[in-house]
Amino acid sequence: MFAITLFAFFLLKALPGDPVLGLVGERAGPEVIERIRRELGTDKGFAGQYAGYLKLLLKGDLGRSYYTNRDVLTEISSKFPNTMILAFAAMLVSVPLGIGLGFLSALAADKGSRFLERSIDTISISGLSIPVFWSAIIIMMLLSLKLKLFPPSGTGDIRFLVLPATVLAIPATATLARVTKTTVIDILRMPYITTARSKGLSLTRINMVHVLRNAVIPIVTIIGLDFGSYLNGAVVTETIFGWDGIGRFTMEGIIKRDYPVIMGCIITGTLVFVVVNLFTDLIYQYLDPRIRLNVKKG
Amino acid sequence: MSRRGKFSIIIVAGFFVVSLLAPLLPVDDPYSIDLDSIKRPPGIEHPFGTDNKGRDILARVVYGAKISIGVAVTAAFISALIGFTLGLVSGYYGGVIDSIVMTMVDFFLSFPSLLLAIAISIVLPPGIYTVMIALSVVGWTSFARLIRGHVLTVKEMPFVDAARATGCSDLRILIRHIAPLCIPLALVLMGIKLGGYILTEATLSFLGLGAQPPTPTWGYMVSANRAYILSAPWMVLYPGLAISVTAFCFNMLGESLRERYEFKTDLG
Repeated sequence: MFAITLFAFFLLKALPGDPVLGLVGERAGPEVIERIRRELGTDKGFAGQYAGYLKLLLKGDLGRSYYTNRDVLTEISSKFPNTMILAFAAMLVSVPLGIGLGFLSALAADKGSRFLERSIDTISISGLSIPVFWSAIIIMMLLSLKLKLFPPSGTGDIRFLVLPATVLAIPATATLARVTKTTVIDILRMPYITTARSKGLSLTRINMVHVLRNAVIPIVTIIGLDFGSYLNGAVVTETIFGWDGIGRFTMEGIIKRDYPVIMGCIITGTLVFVVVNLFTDLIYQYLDPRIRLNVKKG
Repeated sequence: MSRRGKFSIIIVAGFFVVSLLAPLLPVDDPYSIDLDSIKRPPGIEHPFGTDNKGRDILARVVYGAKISIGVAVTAAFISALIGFTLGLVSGYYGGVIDSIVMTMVDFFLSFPSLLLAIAISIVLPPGIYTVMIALSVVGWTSFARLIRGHVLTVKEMPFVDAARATGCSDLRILIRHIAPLCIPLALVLMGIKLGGYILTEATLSFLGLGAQPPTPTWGYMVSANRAYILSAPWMVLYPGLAISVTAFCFNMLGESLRERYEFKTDLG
C-alpha cells in the first residue's frame, strides 16, 4: 500500500501541467500564483509534498480538491456506493448469463454439436472485442435517444442504472463464459464424470452436482479478478452515462490535474482491488474444503 | 491449426497489408478538409460518409488502422521483450532476483490495468509513443510469469546439465540453450494478447491520451464525433466497427492459438 502511494504520487508529480496555472487562469499576476502555491503546498519540493501527503493519509485524510476545495475522502465516500451499485447491477447480469453461456457451450462441445458451440464462442469473443465506449454510445443512441426507453445520462433510480450496467456487463459476461467453458470441458473429461454417468445418474444431477460444484473455484476467481475490470470499465462507462461514481470522479480529476482527487481515486481503486482479491481467497475455503489457507495462529 | 484459426490469420494479415499500403490505396486524403461536403451520409463517393469537416471517414479509418495496429503490435513486442528477459533471468537464477522480479509483477498486478495505463499516459506528453509505453508497462507481467514458469521446468532438463558439464557459462546456457525454447511460447502469448492491446489503445485514444489530432485514430474518432451521433451516426459507427472487427479477428486468432497450444485462460 505504501509503495502504491509513493509510486502514484511520483507519477502524478511528474506531470507536465501545473495545476495552479490552470486554476487561476492566464491573467493572474505572479504574486497571486505564488500565494495559491503556498496555500496548496505545491511550493515545497517533491519530498516535502510527499511527506505532507503521507502525514495526512495516516490521519485518514485524503486532502482537499484543488478546485472545489471539498474534502476528497467525503467526496469519494459519497460516490463510492454509486460505483458499487453499478458494479453489482452489472454482475447481476453478467454472472448468471456468463456461467449459463459457458456451460451451454461446453455441453454443446461435449455432445459434438459444433454449430451451437461455435455460435456461443463467437458471441463471447464479440463481447470481448467491442470497445466499451463504443457500445455505450450506440446503446445510448438506440435505446434512449431514439426509442426513449431510458434516460440517456444521470444518476438515480433503476431506470438510470439499466444502460450503464448493461454496457459494463458485456465484456464481463464474455470473459466469464469463456472461463466457464474451458473449466467445464476439463471437468467433463474427468473419470468421476464417467463414473457418475455409468451409475446412471440423471443428466441434470451430473451437471448440477458433479460439474458445477467443481467448476466453481475458477469461476469465482474470475468474478473476483473481474472486479478490477468493473473498475476499469467504470471510468469510461460512468463518464459517458454521467453516473456519479468513482470512475467519473477519476476522469474529472485527470482532466483538471486535480492531484488529491486522482491520488484518492487510485488509492481507493487499488484498495478495493486488493480487498476483493483477499475476499476471493477466503471464499475458496468454503467452496472447496481441500483448500486451507495457511493462517498462523498467534 | 483449426479452420477458424487459419481464417483469422488471413484476415489479420489483410489488416496489416491495408494499414501498410494505406497511401497506395484508392482512398481520399484523410486530412483534406472539404467544407462543401460536411456530414455527408455514406454513398458512392464516400462509402462511409464524411465527418463534420468534410473528411472522408473511410480514408480516416484506413489510415487509423496503421496507428492502431502499429501501436498494438509494437507495444506487444516491447512487453514481450521486457517480460521475456525478466522472466528468463528470474526463472534461471532464482533466489533474490526471482523475489524482486515477482514482487514487481505482483505490484503491477495490484493496480486495475486501465487506471495504471491512464496514469502513465497523463504523465508523459500524449502521443503514440506514450501509448506504447503505457501498454508495455501494463502488459509485461504476464510474459514474465509465463516465461519464468517455463524456465523453471526447462532448466532441470538433462541437456542443461550436459551444457554445464561441457563448460558453458551461465550466460551462454541462458541465451543459447534455454531462451530459444521459450521464444515460441512468448510469440503465442503475444498473439493471444494482441486483441486486448488493440482495445486498450482504442480506449486511451478515446480518452484523448493517444495520438493527437489531426492524426486519425479510431478511438479518438469515436470520442470526437460522438456529439453528432443523432445527426450523423455513421461518423461514430464505422470507426467503432473498425475497432470491433479488428479486435474480433485478433481475439479469434488468440483463441485458436490458445486451443492449439492448450493455454490456460488464467495466463491471459
